[in-house]
Amino acid sequence: MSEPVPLVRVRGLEKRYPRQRVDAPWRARLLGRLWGWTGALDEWELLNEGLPVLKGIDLDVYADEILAIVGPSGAGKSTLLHLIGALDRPSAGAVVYEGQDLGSRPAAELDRWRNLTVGFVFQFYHLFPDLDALENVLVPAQVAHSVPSYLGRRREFAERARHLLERVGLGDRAHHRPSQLSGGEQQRVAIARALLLEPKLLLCDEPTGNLDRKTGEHILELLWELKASQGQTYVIVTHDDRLARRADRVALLEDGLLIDVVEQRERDAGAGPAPEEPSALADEAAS
Amino acid sequence: MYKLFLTFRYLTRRPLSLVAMLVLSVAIAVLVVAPSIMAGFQQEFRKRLRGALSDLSIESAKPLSFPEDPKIERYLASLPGVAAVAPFVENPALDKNLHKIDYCFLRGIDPRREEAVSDFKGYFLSDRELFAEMNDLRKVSDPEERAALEEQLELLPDEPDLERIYRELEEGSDLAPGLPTLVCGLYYLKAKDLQVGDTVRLTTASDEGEVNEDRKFVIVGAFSSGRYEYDRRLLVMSVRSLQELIGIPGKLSGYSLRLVDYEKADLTKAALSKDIRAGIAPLPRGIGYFVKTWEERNENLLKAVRMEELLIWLMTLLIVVAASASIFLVLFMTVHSKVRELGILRAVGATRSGVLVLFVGQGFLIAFVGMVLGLVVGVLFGTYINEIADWIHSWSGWHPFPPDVYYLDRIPVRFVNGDIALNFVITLCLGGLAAVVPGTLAALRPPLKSIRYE
Ligand SMILES: Nc1ncnc2c1ncn2[C@@H]1O[C@H](COP(=O)(O)OP(=O)(O)OP(=O)(O)O)[C@@H](O)[C@H]1O
Ligand SMILES: [Mg+2]
Repeated sequence: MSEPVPLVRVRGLEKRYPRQRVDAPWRARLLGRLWGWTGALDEWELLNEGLPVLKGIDLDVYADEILAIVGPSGAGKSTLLHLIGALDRPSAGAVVYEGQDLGSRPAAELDRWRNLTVGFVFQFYHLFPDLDALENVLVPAQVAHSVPSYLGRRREFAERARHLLERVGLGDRAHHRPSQLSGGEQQRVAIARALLLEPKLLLCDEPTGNLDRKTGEHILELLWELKASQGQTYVIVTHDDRLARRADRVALLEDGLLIDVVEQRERDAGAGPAPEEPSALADEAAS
Repeated sequence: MYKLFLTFRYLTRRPLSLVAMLVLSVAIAVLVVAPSIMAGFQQEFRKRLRGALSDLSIESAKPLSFPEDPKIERYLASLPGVAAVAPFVENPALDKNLHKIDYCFLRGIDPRREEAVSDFKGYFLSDRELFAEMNDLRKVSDPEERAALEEQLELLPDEPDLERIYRELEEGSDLAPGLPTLVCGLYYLKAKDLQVGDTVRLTTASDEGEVNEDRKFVIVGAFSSGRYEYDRRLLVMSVRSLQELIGIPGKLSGYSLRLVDYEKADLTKAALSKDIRAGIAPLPRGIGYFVKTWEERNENLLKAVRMEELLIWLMTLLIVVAASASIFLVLFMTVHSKVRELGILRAVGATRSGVLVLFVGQGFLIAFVGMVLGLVVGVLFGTYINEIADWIHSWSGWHPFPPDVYYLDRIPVRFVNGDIALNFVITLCLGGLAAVVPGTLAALRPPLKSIRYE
């Protein structure tokens, strides 16, 4: 049996964010004031010297696994996740998805790839405030399809969205707007949205970070359940030890460097929630 | 698909965007109506200012010394572009009535020939109009009295009897045989509480300083020109009567000329001046002559009008700027408030250009619908403004446009298509800018900036 092929290969990944130079000439500062916030000048050396956030990361993500990324705040976890999802461009190194270097593909193609093969879940849910839950879930399908092709398959999409909402336990809240939903419910809507087009890769940035223990646990339960039934690849950034403990592998990121990758489960052993000691959980909560 | 759907949802779920649309349409409606009313007023004003002035006039520099001579008339009529010629005499006078002394202007004309050079004929009031004006039916509260008056009114002729007025101006009135006659303005009658048929006493002086005191005249008709100054102070009589009154037989102030084409007044003027200088014209030498268009005769007033035009234009400009600014602001706010959602869209795979189209499209849609709505409302309002004013009047009793204040019985509205189009283009550009700028800035922004933080 050969070594399984990684779905995503991260090689020598570096990211430098601009750090405004105090000694920048005034015209550079003026331009930076005017344009800096657009990000267009992030690489302009006159104004910015690189602030390394990721300092060369090598990491493989295998198909059908749950990889947790943990580390102290400011370590660069979110940055790494965004680079894997091609929401940002690396300063150096490459993200290779199924043998293809994302950096070499045109922007429009990346957008399409992100639409069809990546699902994002953010710490702050990021739902559209003007749409109700069902419509929020449907957005990726609307982005993916032109008007006639969407209208032609709209029943199918609506069906799937409704089904997903039921799966996340919001079957009866389909027509509530985000402002009418609790944080946990909003996060569940966001998860349903990420899953609509059945992406191969799910990138979750602290999905439980903003929720209380109990709600967080529900979300975790849900993620594992979905994972078990759909067989996708999850990369989850988290501070949550419970989550990390149940992942297949845990990558420890510290100060822009990958310190350690812990294998917690035999690969290909079938993913399922690890049996947890309830008392251990309670202990942790107390501490 | 998402562009269409999100735009639709945005418009249906956010009342604010509809409010923005309404604000736009109000601004546009103002932009259409305000300049149109201004233009209407101005046109009306110029028309009234001109009053009964002929296109062109020639006067002697020394007043009342222009010879009345058929040879001169024939010469003037033969000038290029001249359609008709008629004599006139002008002199100020004092009139004493109810022991109060007042000043007025006398104008002597040849009523029949005057028809050919000016629009004075159109100003004569019919007996019915005069009766209605003098008795002011609206103020009669007793219904019986009112009905009686209305009945009386119905019996009166609707057209002025020009033939009678002309004859009486030329030959004197049967009411007071032997007395000279005149016609006066409506406000003259009202101010002095006179009726047609009454006599007035006029005092005037010739240039030689000879004073002719207290000559009696009979009023044989009334006119209303729409210009207060005329209707209050102008007394019109025949050339003959005025010459007699002043004591200048055979002398005039000058001749009025009607031109075939007023646009070419300069040509006629130049030809006339050249002839006078060269001594070809059969005019006595050594007097000096003025040749003036009606605008030149009214120079001072027209200067004021031009000043007013400038002010009105500035005001309209301010309105345009204010409306455009509100459009800019509203669009900028609506588009700007959506910037956060852009990051989410990018995260679920929308392209940069798609997001740009969505944002700018939303702005444009709001602007466009608002503008079309405003245009329709503005044109409708402008067209039916008088009906609306009447309706308000009949409904509340309050007159939004009191005719006696503005001296106009209808609100004049004139749509100057060029001006409206210009305002429209300015606002459209500003609106477009307001939609494009925040949208483009938002699309240029890396998606992460709006995602990373709450
Ligand atoms: N646009 C940016 N410009 C400059 N510095 C940035 C920018 N975005 C992130 N950084 C910096 O990069 C570093 C890593 O940020 P990142 O969000 O990846 O950390 P993290 O590991 O996700 O932290 P947390 O656990 O608090 O979310 C931080 O020090 C942050 O200040
Ligand atoms: Mg983070």
